[in-house]
Amino acid sequence: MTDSRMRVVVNDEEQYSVWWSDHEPPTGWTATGFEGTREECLDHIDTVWTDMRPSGVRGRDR
Amino acid sequence: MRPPASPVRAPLSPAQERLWFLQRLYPDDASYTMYLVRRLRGPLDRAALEDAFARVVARHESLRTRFAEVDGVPWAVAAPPGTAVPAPGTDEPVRWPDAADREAAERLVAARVNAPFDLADGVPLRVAVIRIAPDDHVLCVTMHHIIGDGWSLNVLLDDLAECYTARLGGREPRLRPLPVQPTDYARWQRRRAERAVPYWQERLADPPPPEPPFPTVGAGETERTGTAGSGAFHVVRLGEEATRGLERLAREHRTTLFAVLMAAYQVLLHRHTGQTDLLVGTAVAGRERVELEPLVGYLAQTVVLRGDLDGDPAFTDLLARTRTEALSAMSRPSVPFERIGHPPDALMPTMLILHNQDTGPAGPFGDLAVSLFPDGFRQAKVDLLVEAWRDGPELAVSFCYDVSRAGAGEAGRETVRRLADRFLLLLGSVAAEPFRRISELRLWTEADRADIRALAGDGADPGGPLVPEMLSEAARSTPDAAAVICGDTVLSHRELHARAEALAAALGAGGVRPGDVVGVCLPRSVEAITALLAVWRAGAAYLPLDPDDPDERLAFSLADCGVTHVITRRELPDGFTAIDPATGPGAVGSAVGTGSPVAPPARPADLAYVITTSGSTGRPKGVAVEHAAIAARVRWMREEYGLTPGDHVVQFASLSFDTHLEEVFPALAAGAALVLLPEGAATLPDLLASPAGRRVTVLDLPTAYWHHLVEEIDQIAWPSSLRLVILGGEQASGAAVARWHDRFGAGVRLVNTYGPTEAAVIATATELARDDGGPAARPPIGRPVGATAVHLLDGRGAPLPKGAVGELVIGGAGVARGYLGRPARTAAAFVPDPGGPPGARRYRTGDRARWRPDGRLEFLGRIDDQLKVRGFRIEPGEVEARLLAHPEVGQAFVTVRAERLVAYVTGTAGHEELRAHVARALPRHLVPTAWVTLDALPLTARGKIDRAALPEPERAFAPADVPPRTDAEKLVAGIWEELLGVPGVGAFDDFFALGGHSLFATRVAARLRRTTGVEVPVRTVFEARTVAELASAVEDLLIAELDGMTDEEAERLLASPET
Repeated sequence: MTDSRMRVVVNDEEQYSVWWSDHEPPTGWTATGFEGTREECLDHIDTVWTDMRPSGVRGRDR
Repeated sequence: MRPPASPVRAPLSPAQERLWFLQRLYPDDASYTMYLVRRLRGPLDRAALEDAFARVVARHESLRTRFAEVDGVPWAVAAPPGTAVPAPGTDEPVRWPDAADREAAERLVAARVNAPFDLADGVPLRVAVIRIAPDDHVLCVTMHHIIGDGWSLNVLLDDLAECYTARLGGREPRLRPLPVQPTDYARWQRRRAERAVPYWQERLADPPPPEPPFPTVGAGETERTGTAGSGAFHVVRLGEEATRGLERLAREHRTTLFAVLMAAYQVLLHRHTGQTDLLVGTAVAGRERVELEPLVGYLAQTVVLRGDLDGDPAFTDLLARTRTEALSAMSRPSVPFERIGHPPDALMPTMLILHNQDTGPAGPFGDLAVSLFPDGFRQAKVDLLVEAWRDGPELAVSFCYDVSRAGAGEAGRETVRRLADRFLLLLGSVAAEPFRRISELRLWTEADRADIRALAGDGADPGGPLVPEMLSEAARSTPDAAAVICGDTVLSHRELHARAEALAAALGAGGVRPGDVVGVCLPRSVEAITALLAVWRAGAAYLPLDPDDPDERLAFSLADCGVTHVITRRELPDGFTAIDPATGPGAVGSAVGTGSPVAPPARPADLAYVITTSGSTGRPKGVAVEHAAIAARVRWMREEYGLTPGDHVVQFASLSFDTHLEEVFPALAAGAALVLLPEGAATLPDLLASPAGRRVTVLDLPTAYWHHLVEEIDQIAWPSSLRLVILGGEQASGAAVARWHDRFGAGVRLVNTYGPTEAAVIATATELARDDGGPAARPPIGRPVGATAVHLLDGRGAPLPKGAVGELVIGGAGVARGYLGRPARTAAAFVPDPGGPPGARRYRTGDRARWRPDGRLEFLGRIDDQLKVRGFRIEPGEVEARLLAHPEVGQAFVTVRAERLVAYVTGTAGHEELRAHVARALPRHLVPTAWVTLDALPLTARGKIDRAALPEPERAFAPADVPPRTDAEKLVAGIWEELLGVPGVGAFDDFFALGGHSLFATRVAARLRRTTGVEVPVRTVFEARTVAELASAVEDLLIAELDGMTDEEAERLLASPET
């Protein structure tokens, strides 16, 4: 797994994760376009995922 | 050539030495009995067959060779040709038993092929011709492997047939001359082996832990006692097309069918264990020189091949690696493992051998028709031996498994049947698509796929009320029932809610807003329970904090989780607002109802609580869990634990540990009562003995603490009302489970649970029945709980069926939101869940587990928890399980300190006894070298073993610092010094560390016997590794001997020379 190329994916709640580049992300997940090693993907997520609340909760003051 | 009439005395080949030693170590082991069993139909000339056999014996030196021991060193002693060689225990070379029918003959054969040989007792050869009818016989030749290998059996049959045929025809047999004899071969092989030692030392350095591709029946039950009948067989056939495909693949890659099978078998093992570095044994005939071909002797070699499956190679690439490895390893003589610093049978859990199957003989056997006859062999040399041979256009594949490891009866058969089916599927896939990566080769059968779906559980969340609603409902339906009992204080559900409401109002007035995280930093108390409810009523989530934490850690956690308000009585660092838990007491007892919420009700995706988990390294992380997750758990627990208003549940866990949720909320939601340990000194046993404790019905305990209680099971005043005990947090000990059932029978349910905080308290659970206990058992962690899916995934995220080891991954309703303020760590641990609803996530636990044959999960430790000592990889759990299998060990914890494997134990067992106990079952590198006995293992506030509080083992002995102290120690040390050529041996020097190995062990035993007159078993020398241990063992034996003697005998013994 460590050697595989990964990509950053995001779901409708704007939660981020990583998935194998050579596999389609599961339903409900979209590739953001960022690819790299696992570590590179996680570093990227650290910079873009700034509000970790699910998007459904954010708008309602919770 | 030597003169023909004198016996030949010669050293053994290294492989013979190894077998000789193993037979001394396990005298009852029949697994090295070789056999030739053939049915002979037609007119049989008894005199001609006896004469033919005598000629064969005269021809082959091996068949006249017995093994003598001189000062612990074995020698082969071959009688000159022409000497009559009776079978051991008889005075005739060939026995002629009668059998009433075929079945009787099968029984006679089975008895012979499953009988061990005593190598001290003459030539290890037995020949019988069983007569079923005048023209129907069964030839049954058995011999110890030390004088003949599989090839030899074919030679023997050919020569016997030729001699018999020649005799009937009145001519001399036509046999190839034998330019060399096995003793010549042994000398030659010894020289070659010596040169090969460096190769094997390097090749087998840092060996991977031996892992068979199935769950073993109890981690502790690995003791090889050589019990007869420990093996069982399962034979399958690979079809013609796939067999041809494999042969074609071998040709195209300029290699052999053996290399293809070996590479495929390595894939099978890898896909079951996850290991990318693995060892598989095989046998090579060792007949590469033409003059060796017609010999009867042990020329075959057991060779270990090391597979490198790193990087998910294409099968064809793996095949190239395997080919190189096989060429390199099989061109060298093998060296007994113990010669390169390993125990005799530790490296190799499994073997694969490709045979040339001959039913033979090559020529006629007089007028007899020769055919195979069932041999009934039931011996297992290793955990799993796979043998293949061409059977017409097909390939037959036999799986011989050790039933003491894979399981006896139907369970073991089912495990191996599945394994065999997978291997066939894999071989077909290799034949059809060899360019695929090894992770993509087909392996799992239709049955496996169905299992994967059925085992995973259903992660769908049926929904329902959230926990605050459940609590309000209980307060409405059972307002006056006791909710919290603490010493003399009893609070009803109505009162509890009233207090919570008042405190919630105070929180709101103090500035807490819905969506905030509020700290709760209180000891276990009525106030603490009130505070949890109050935070929810204020629309916030709670972060429980340990009041004993230092300021620095507290400040870190508060800042890290974005907390500004804390319900506490303690001083807070600057910048945080403390709210007194007794705020708003005026409201208590007032007419405030339970139905007027302070804040709007929580929604499923709102945050319910945050639990700080201290990672193994680095900073603590706040795990954020939403209301829907904990609601799903509370619903399941309430139902599954059968909680009703009559229950009294002890609130034992510290609030900073998420087990408190399992105790508090299902009970309160059911209208039951929580029983608190009064603040201060009271322990759980004290509470149970108090009036409030006498009514306790449910206990939820950290497993390590429960082990501690079970040790004192008879001293504890267990309430008669107790009906359920829930465990979690660590591997449960099989011995403790057995003890529990001995005490309580079926009267108290014992439920084991497993789950990380990241999946809302628990994810799997199971009842632990009596059958789940026992010294060798590793009690399971169960099946997925409600609204939970559990998958075991391989390195590529593919789900695994029963028997394969993978990472335990949890999906479903309980999956946490993530780690507060840690996007990267959250994204790494919470990953897309293809099995869940769109966009669902699942949590990777980092735990290794396996589905057992019964569909429950077996916990196998952390993926990253392997320790290393002197380059050896060590799974502490494996050593702990073995220690716990000892009847006098209560608890055990194994870790590495200063390059030493340290065992911490409780109980009465002596360290030398325990060391021997572990050494009997585990490889030497898994035997702890430092031992500490404690009254109890120190536990953290969370009930986990407190590593920091474990005392350092006593200063490592610089062994030579302690000179031998007693006469016995001086005697042992003197013998070691002489045999090992090491001066200044100390009382705590380790035999193996000084360069001793198994053959030195037999010499030490011989020397001790000569010096003391006491028969010291080789096994004792092998297991009592220090001078002190061995000396003490010798003294014990001496005392035992004296006890059984007359006074004169005793005096004579004690006055014997050389002491």
